[in-house]
Amino acid sequence: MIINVRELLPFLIPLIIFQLLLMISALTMIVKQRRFKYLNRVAWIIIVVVFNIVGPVLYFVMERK
Amino acid sequence: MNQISALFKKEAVESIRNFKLFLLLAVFIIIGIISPLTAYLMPDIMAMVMKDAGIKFELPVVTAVDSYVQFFGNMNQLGLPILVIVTGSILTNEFSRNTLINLLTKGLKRHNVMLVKFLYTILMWTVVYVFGAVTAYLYTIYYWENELENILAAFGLTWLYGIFLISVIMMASAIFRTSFLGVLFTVLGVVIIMIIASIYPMTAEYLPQYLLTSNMSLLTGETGMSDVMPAVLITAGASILIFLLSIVTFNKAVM
Repeated sequence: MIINVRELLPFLIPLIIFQLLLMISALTMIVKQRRFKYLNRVAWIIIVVVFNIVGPVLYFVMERK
Repeated sequence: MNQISALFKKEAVESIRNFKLFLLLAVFIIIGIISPLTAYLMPDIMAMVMKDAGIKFELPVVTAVDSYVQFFGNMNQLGLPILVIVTGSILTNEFSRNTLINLLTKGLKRHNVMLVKFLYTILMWTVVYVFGAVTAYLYTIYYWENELENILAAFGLTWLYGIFLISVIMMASAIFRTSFLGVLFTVLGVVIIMIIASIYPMTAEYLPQYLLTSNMSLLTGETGMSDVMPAVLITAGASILIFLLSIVTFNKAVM
């Protein structure tokens, strides 16, 4: 493997920023939310943290209508 | 006109408040970043796989074309499904919570509701798609900088296909009204039927599905604009027709 990380930084920095934005916004909403239509708080937190694009999308679509 | 602008404002506020606009924007920009990144890393990934498997051959040099191959692939597999899932509930939500009834009895025209929902979803799709496409484009010219033909047209095909999907969403919502799953399965069914129908070369060129398969050959110049024109016209016509039919269906619906 001869991948130069510095070369990839222009890709990685914005990518990480956007994924974190998605994750953090979903997490703050999960923490504030009182009642859940499906699953519970802990399950949603795990889903959002583990699946990095699909998790927040699932949360926003299923819990926030 | 007054009704339309008021409804438009309502849709805009709603999409910001329930985070849908932000969500779509973030996902499409991520697709715009990931696609050139995958193309950029492809030689390393291939080298690793070949080393493990004990295969040896010369890898072709990665060009701008590979970056767009990744972009359109990600669009079809991730972008369009997420668009349908996120915007699919735009009407079913209103029906299942009965939020439209009060407005409709106070004199809000039904066709205005449909028109604004349709136009606003198209607007949202256009904005997020442009962001994703521009991101991918900027990375690609920064890393590879070779000029390709018909680049706007190639991006435009996927955009038009998105509009077609949105019109199918409107139609399915007018039919099923409260069922979001009904909308999802209708869109899925339409896409599957088109994929099956495009097995026959006779019909393939005239289906909306052809737009998704021909944007790469447009970029490399294998096919010209005139080859995709029938499919473009049919898709545009079908979208308008399906949307008009959905207004008719919605007008007859009992709330």
